[in-house]
Amino acid sequence: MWDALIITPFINALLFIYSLVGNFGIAIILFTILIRLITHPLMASQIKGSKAMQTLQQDKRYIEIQTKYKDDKEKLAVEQQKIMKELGINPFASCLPTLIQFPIIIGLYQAIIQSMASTPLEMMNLTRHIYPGLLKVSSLIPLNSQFLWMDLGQPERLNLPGLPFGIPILAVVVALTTYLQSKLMTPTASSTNAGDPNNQAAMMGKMMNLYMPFLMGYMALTLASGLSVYFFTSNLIGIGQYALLGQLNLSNLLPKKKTEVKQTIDVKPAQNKPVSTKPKSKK
Amino acid sequence: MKAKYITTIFVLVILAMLLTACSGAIPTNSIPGVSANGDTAYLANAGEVYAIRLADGGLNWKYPAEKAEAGRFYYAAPVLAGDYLLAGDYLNTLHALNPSSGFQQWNYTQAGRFVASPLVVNDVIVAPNSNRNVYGFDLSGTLLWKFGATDGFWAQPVTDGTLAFVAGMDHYLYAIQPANGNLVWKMDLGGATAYPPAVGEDKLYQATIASELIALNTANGAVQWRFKADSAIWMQPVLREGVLYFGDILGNVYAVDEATGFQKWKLSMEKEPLMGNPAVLENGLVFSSETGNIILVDYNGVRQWNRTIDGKLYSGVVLSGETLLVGVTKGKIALVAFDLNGNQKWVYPPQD
Repeated sequence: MWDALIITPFINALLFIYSLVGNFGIAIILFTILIRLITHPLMASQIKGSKAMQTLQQDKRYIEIQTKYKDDKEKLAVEQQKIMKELGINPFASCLPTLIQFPIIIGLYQAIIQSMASTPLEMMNLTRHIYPGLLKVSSLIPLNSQFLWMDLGQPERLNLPGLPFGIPILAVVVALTTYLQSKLMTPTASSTNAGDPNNQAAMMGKMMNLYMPFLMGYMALTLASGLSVYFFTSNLIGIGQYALLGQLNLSNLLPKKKTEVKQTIDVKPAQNKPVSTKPKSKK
Repeated sequence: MKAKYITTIFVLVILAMLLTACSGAIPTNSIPGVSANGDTAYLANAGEVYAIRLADGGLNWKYPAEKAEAGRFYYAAPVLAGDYLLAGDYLNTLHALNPSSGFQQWNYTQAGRFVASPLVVNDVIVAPNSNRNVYGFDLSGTLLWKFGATDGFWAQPVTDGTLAFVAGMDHYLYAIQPANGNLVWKMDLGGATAYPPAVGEDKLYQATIASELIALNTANGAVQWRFKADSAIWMQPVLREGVLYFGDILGNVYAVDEATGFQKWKLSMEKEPLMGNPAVLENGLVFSSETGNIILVDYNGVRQWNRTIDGKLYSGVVLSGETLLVGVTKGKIALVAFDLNGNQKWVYPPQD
């Protein structure tokens, strides 16, 4: 089911692009762009939803009920729903698009892995996924896995004359772009109450931002470089999408002042559009 | 603050370098390699090479004797070359082992993945590699020559006693002088292949994953005829008494006239994807199917018996004396031995 609905169509789309451009590295880049473009409305909707939730967390009434009903979870939930309804916030607006995007991104990842068949068994499985009406196995296989200095089926290393070891350029680039992406996409501390030690979500986000670049860098180091090309492209597109939606948080890259200001705002009810979280003035 | 960012980048680079040293190759999904000689079966599977007694399935030795090295996988069927047992790995090394003890005698580490087994032709080891090269070594492991192509080699070479024939993933079949690696001829097959051709008196019979069986002239590579199968062929055809036998991935078994390329008969076995070379018996061919079935098909195209193994079968069936050996993928066992009537003799590793 998963194979028939997601993996096989994705593999065929990827290989179709490859058959047009003749370079698997470029095919991965174009395919990643294509999938991210298709899922862009979902991402925009997710960002909009998250923004609304952030706004809600800064609302005075919301903060008040957290303290007031901290021992009565049911009452707290009811009150929270009431405020959300007043403000026109849909609690599923941020998680539903993420849930829909998730299988697509997993499918994209798996399609790339399966297309980089480097053993007879993997190749045999790949040929079974190909739609004979769309693509011709005889001319398509084997895929040209050479891209720049990389063999896309193998972990990437740049071998320079005189150096006894290869330099994992792509692993470093993937780690850096992941770090950059997480920094640029993370809302400022003030907008998420990240400074609050009780804000576990913000703390979790902070930890993720710290560890993800290392994890992605390690994956890029050990897995086939075709996947690293995908990680890198995906990171850049992610940053581009946030920029397009005006959500890039450049201030996260700049040095911060030590003073910490906890802010709350009054949110006018019945607003369907996300409310700007920009503070009007510093206290 | 600038120093902080420089430090971050520096730490990332250093960390990447350090991780390079301790990380292995990517996890591999491949097929066990099985061969046999005399009273011993050799199995290359995942991180180790095993020598197993044909009589009772007991282990003689394994290589490495200690713990398997992370990232080093052996899948090409080990082959005997003089006093050595050759086993190529996926971490760019060809190992020459003592067949009696499993101790390493020499190795060559400067290649790419050894997906295919080597072949000894006139005291020269012809070793195809997935890094687009075929290597020629003498029996002591000295590199004699290197032959380059445009894509990797996954098929074991064959010989007519004079030339080495190596099929490449780049769609070409190459005829090489084993002494010096010089190209004698090459022919575009129109499709990739991971299996060697069958060698006839003056013809080679090469199957491809483009669903074709092609007969070529041994002397110059000229195509004599082409036979179109229903789907991809993932095995070496069997040539017996003027007839070629092979199966395809849809479960069809074909008998094709060697001289003309005309089909004599076809047996359709639905949902039995056939991959790996069959064993040739007096009364028929034993095929292995992905579904876990090993199937005896007689020379008239009639299915005679069927045995089922828990696992997937892609390695084909190897005949050694009175024993049929089957490598198992994705199962609890790695190797099963049957007698010629399909009765199970032993499994490795032994099960309670």
